[in-house]
Formats: sequence, C-alpha cells, structure tokens
Amino acid sequence: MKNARALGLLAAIAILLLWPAFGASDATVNILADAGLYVVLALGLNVVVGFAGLLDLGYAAFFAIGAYTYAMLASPQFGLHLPFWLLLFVAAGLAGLCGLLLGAPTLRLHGDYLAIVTLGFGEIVPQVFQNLTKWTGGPNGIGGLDFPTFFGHSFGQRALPYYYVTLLVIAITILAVSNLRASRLGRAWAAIREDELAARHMGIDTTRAKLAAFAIGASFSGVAGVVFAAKLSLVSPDLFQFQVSVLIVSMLVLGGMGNVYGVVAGSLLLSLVNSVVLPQANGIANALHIHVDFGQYHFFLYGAILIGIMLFRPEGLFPDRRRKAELHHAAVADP
Amino acid sequence: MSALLDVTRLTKRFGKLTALEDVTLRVERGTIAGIIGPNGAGKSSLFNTITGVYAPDGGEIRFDGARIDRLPTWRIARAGIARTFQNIRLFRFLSATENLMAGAHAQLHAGIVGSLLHTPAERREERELRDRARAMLAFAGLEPFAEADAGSLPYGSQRRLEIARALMARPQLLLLDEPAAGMNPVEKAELADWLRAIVEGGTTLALIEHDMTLVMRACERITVLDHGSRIADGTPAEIRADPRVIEAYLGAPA
Repeated sequence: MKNARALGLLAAIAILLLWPAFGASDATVNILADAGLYVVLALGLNVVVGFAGLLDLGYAAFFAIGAYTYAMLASPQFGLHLPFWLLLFVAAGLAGLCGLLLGAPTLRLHGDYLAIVTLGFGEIVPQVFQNLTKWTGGPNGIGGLDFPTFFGHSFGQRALPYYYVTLLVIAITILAVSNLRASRLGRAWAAIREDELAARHMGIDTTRAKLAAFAIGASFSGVAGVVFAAKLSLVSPDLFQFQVSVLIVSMLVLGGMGNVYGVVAGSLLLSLVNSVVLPQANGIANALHIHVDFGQYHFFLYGAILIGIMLFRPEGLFPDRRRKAELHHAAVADP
Repeated sequence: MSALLDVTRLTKRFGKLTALEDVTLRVERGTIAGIIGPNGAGKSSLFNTITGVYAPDGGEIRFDGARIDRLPTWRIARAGIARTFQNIRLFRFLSATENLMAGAHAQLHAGIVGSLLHTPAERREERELRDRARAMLAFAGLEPFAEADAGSLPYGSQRRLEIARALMARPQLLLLDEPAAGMNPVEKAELADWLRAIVEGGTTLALIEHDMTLVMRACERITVLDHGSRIADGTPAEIRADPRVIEAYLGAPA
C-alpha cells in the first residue's frame, strides 16, 4: 500500500518533469508554469484560511510585495542585480514580515470584520506601489528585469526553466504545508478554529499562532511573486488587483479548503479554465459569428462557481475531513 | 506550606450585577475541593475568573505562591491550571487522540521551524506524544474511541475525554465544572473512583458539582456559594449540618 503510493508519486513526478521534452510548445509550458504559480499561491493562502480559519481577502498584496522585491533588486531600476535564488528567500522574509504587520493590529477581529480589513490591505499595497513613482515606476511599473541564471546559464525568455522552478517551489510548498498540518502548530490552528476559548485553556498563545499563520502564508506568496516577476520580466500595480485575491480564494473554495491536494486541484482547474477554456470558447464563438469575449466574463464565472459550490457542495470538490464536518455542522446549527 | 490555590476576597461585577463578592477559597495540595451552591451562585464565574477569562474587579489569586490574577488565560494554563467546562468544549471535529494531543500543547517544544521541517527532535516529540495520548485513552477508558470524532462520542465519554484532555497538560490543579452532569449513577460511581485515581497521581482537584452524593463522597473540603458570596466552608459533615446551607438550598424555614 505504502509502496504503491510512493510509486504513484514517483510516476507523477517523472511525468511532470519529462513531458515538456516530448514536443510541447513553449506556449503550453508557459500556461502550466503560470498555473503552477497559482498552485503555490493557493497553498499559501490555505495556511491562513484553511488551517487557521482566518479569512484573508487581500492575499495578492503579498504576491505584489514579492514581485516588487525582485523588480527593485534585480533590474536596471536602481542598478542592483541581486541573484534570483537569493531574492526568493529575501522576498519570503519580507512578505512574511508584512504578514506580521497586517496580522498584529487585526487579530482581535473575527470573520467578516477581518475579511474587510484584509481586503483594504489588498487595495492599499498596489496603490502604494503605484504612487511611489520614484522607486516603483508608478503606473508603468518596472520593466527589463534580470533573467535568473542557473550556474551561469541564463533562463532567457523560454518558459521551460520557469516551469521547472515552479515545480520545485510547489514541491517544497506541499512538503512544508503538509508538515505544518501534522504538527504542534497545525493542531493549535485546528483548535483555535474550533474553539478559541478552549484553545487558550490548553496553553495555546492564540495571538502568536494566528500571527504565525499570517506570516507563513504570506511568505509563500512572496516567493511566488519573485518567480512571477522574473518570468514576466515586468511588474506593474495592475497585476495585483483585488481580482487576483478573489481568484485565489475561489480556488480554495472550489478545491476544498484545508485539504492540500484539494487546493492543488482547485487552483489547477480554475487557472486552466482561465487560460485554456475561456480562450477556446472565444474561438468557438467567433467561428459561429457570435461576438462575445468570454475573457471578459471570468468574474462572472468565479461568481457562478462560488454560488454553485456553496449550494451543492460547500466543502469543495476534494474536502478536508475536519472542515467538511465543521461546515455541515454550521449548516445545521444556523436555521 | 502555603495552599496550592489561594483566592482572597475575589470580586467580579458585570455592570450592576455582582457575580462574585469577597470570595475566599483555599485549595490544599493533594486534595479534592468541592464548590457547591444553587444555580446562579457564581460557581462558574469563579472558575472563569481564576483561569483569566474574566478580569477580577477586586481581590487576588495566588497559585503556587505567585499572583496570577492579571495573566492571560494561556499563561495561567501554562502555570499549571487546567479545566473542563460546564458545557463540554471539546474540539468536536478532531479525533479523541487529536484532542488529547492538543491538550498537551504547552508541554511541547516544537516551534515554527520544527513544525515546518519535521526535524528529528520534532518527530521524537510527536512520537512520544502519541504514546502518551494512547496511555491516557487507556487511563480514561476511552480506547475504543481513539480515532472517532470527539463530538460523536456518547455524552459520558465526552465528559471523560474532556478531563483526559486537561490531564494531558500535566496540571498541578484541575478545575472540573460539573463533571458528573448528565451521567447515570453507574457512570457517576466510576467517575468518583477515577477522580480518586487522578488525585493519587499527584493532581489536585477543585470541582463544581450539583450531585451531593458525589461531592460528599469525594471532597475533603466544601465551599458553598450563594448570590456570589461564600456562605460556608468546611468538611462535608460540617456543611451538611450548616443551617445557612440548608436555607440557601431549601429556602428560609417558615
């Protein structure tokens, strides 16, 4: 049984590593590399929302912080050209710090109130990057970012190296969050989610545990931001708007909050709908001489998915056992 | 030697309502103290003030010689006071084993790094914790429920699990809020024996209870509260004979 699982995992890894070698186009690899970044983002947000039960609607802010970290420290902007691999860690640290800064004043808030404050934070951060024109290039952002190098080889503009880096980041993220879930801290989060008062009576410092969730969640987002910026070779404030935060929350809800593999499935599904299904639908519509741009309707789509999921399967497609029970209990308790 | 818990002239008000007024309570090491009184007498408020859920308006609380009345709940818990609740507050959707493991939170050392990386020290700690949880399940007679959701257990077992979860913190003092509520006579008798075993294991107990048979049988000393004030304090025999207690429970003689 355990061997079968390990074998399956090995096979999956081999396929993920090798398929691009069999004549995949750069565009296809590019789409999957982008989807992979959303997997990292969703896994990171899952620590905050799924594990600790803190609704964060401004998660894209940390993504922006990671991206701008790379843009400012590895570009002609200030003539700084720090290495990509170093900046992955720097951005993780900076984003984590900003997670603490957001968390510290908001921890007294619960549920809807917390969601609104985090939403505000998500609006403020891109605004700040937009207005600090001197440093961030304002609305135009910063372009011409350095290509990362790997032992002297430049990544260049091909998607493939970024695809592999993203895979590596996903692997590390999955390992880290799975470890967290089955740890002292993960249990403390579950306890807080279920009964904060009882958790305090177990000697759990609930403030500290929640801050840890904000900081850890944010640092994954920061790392994703660095890869994103390097891959695009460009950052601008409009890349990190509210809709990015909404998209990531939608991925969690769709896939199944709390469950690591549910979150991976949800994020892949939704980003592929965005990058493959909607453009395809456009093509079909055009061929039928119907002039609709489905790309314009992605918000409508998230809304429809959220409503559908809430009505028919509130725990998501691949739910976490605990979260499922909690949700169904809540549904019974509220008449 | 000073008492393990020393509550002196404790007062707690909610607006105009006085929940506790000048309440004094001493709990000696290695004993079972009983706290009784009619509904609304302030018994649960007393526990909530001791554990830092409410901030007292007057008086002081000493535990093991040190003031604890300004500490947050989690620090009081770490100082060595564990408790159960009148309305059972288990983590309903965690398994019985996970509840016990969460109860030992303050005993563990793993930090963020250990939790993220599952370092060898963290793995060893978790393994030992699982063993302790298994032993505790046996001590509480809950082995069949090891992997069941805590909320799905029979009522009496939930009460036992909540006590077991509190014991996982290896507390010096355990506060039990109506541990026998809702139990049938057989379960109550088992509970009384089990509480005895807990005290013999070195944990001091203070319990709020309505079941007089249990209180009189189990407790060395009994404190009686009525309308937020202490009206009597003594051995079970003294309490049984105290006219004020009889009046509080049965009303003034005609």
